[in-house]
Amino acid sequence: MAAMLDTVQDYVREARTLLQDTVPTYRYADAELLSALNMGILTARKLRPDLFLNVTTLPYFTAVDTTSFAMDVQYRMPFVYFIVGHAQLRDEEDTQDNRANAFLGAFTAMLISVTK
Amino acid sequence: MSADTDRLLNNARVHLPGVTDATIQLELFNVLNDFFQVTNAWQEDIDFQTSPSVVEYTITPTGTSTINRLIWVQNANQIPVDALMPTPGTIKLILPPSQIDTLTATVALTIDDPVDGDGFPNFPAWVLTKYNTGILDGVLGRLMAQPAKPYTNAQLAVIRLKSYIAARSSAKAEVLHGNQNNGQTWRFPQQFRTRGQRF
Repeated sequence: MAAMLDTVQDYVREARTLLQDTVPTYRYADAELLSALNMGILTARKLRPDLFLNVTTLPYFTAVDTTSFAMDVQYRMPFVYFIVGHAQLRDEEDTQDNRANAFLGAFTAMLISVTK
Repeated sequence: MSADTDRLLNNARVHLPGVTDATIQLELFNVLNDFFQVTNAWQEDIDFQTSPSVVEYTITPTGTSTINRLIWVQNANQIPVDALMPTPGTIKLILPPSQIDTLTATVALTIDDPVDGDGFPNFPAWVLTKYNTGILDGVLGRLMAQPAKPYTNAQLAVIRLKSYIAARSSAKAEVLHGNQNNGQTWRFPQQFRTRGQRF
């Protein structure tokens, strides 16, 4: 059954929408957003090991394509927020720092609490 | 997956926001294993052939399960035979048999790997039908006791686990009395007890 955020390109597309970076030439390269997704997986493994039960090797993605990212549907949105927050960390403006912190905080909160 | 396991999953999902089905199944395995180990609710009669002078015999349960405890051993005339089980699955007769005979070992079983295709362990369906709320309490309690989860709740975990332990104790008593109502009304006078039994 098809659901939102099934593939790697779904995550990157949704992240670009929040980053307001949907028109080429992109401000944030595919490789950067992909790297953020991979780091989000590493961080999620620490916070919620139960999301990776029976997974011997954590997923690692090398291309923005239709490769599936098997994640429980309840926990797909936090990964979009992590990609956005991590991408915006590189910006030096104060407003962007706050935004990055908000997204990264939302990622953590959504994984370990019911408040967000 | 049966209607009972479906109901158990649905109840757990309702009480535990953000829980995944795989995590529920992980804790269900732990709860069922504990339940069967304590209550002896799952029993099986296993026949084995004796040989003269041989005292050790290996028995194997049918289906996916593992032997937890030896209840008793009887011969074909239903006369009790003294025996031990030093390691689960190995019957050791106290006296060496003098002739070829067929003995029956009644053993208590518990769940074992592998789980079925849906992720549930193999166990008798009647157990979940009879003790559904107690087992649900055990699953909820264990899940609520996990740290840093959306459904973490230390206070409710204590309540749920107490309720599970009460249900487990009740099941253990029912098994001892063969599910017979009013099977044993006598109770050791509590003012003379020397220790408490919490589990």
